[in-house]
Amino acid sequence: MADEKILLVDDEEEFVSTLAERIETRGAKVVTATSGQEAVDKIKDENFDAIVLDLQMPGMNGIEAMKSILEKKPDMQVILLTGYGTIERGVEAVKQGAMDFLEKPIDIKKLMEKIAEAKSRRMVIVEKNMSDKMKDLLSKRGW
Amino acid sequence: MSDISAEEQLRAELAFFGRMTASVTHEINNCIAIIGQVSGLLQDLCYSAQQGRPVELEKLCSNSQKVGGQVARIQEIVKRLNRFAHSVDNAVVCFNPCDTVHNLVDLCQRFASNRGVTLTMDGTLDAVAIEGDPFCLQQAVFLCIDTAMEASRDGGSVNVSVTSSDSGILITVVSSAPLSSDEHKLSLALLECVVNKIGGSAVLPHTGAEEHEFRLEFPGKIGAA
Repeated sequence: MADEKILLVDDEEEFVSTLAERIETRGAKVVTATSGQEAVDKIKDENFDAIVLDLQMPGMNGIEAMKSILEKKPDMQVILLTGYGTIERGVEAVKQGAMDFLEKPIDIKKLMEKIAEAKSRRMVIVEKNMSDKMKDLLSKRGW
Repeated sequence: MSDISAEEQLRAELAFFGRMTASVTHEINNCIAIIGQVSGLLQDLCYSAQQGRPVELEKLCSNSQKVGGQVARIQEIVKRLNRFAHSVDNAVVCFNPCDTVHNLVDLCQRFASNRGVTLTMDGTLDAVAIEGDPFCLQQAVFLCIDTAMEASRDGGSVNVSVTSSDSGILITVVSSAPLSSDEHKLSLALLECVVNKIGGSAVLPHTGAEEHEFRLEFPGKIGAA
């Protein structure tokens, strides 16, 4: 796998920098953020194949950030990171639009599999959206 | 004086203990997650070296420092939790309330951070001792801090101070935000109940004022620690 572009969000700076380096070693490009608000700001001008988001963060938490992100860009694929006892919240997050969740401490192999899955899902959605737009355009123009 | 039953009091004590333990284990888990990633990164570097690629010494040093830093962080967290856990050992014991409250404030920093609140503590009374239940005292102070922090969400501040008073010690918890009407009624009733149980007295804040203050007074001996 290669060429994925990922937004990695966690308030623990050392966690973010170390995991980012490991993901980059595996061929993906990583942009980092250390707060929910920073993540929401970063998706305004950039697209990502996957957003890896910590559930528990000070200020805007993972669920709030995810809702805000999906409101602006519904095709974004969010993978949530949960701690002990927050698996129920992870399940709840999936119901609210997250692609999946992983329990911390995370396994890099599992994370990379989820990221690849996120990219595939997003490509399907983007292609479908483009196809719908084309159909709409063709029907409006009467071609 | 209170309509809180013994069962509800016991449940509240367990809930307090549970909240503290859950918060601390979350924090430890964050440290473990960092150490886990650093360990993984070192494995990546080993693999890279096995493939004949040079390994930067600086990278090894910085990652080893990261592990050391996280281990020190865990040690500090565990020390605080251990001290808190031992506070239930004896129902009546002679203790320094300032040290006990200081430990509690440290344990509450994660709750403060999650709510966007700045939590500070003033005052050190080296030679002061009170006789009583340190767990109940912490529960009482936590109820004040928790209520004050909930009212001060997203940018507010809460200050805790421990000073001497005519009859012993005075613990004040001051929030920069007003206390809203009914939402804290249950915790205030519980607070009165806990303070009375350990022979103290409480002056509770009025709702609606620009900022609010809790005042808890406990009998004790200055210079007797």
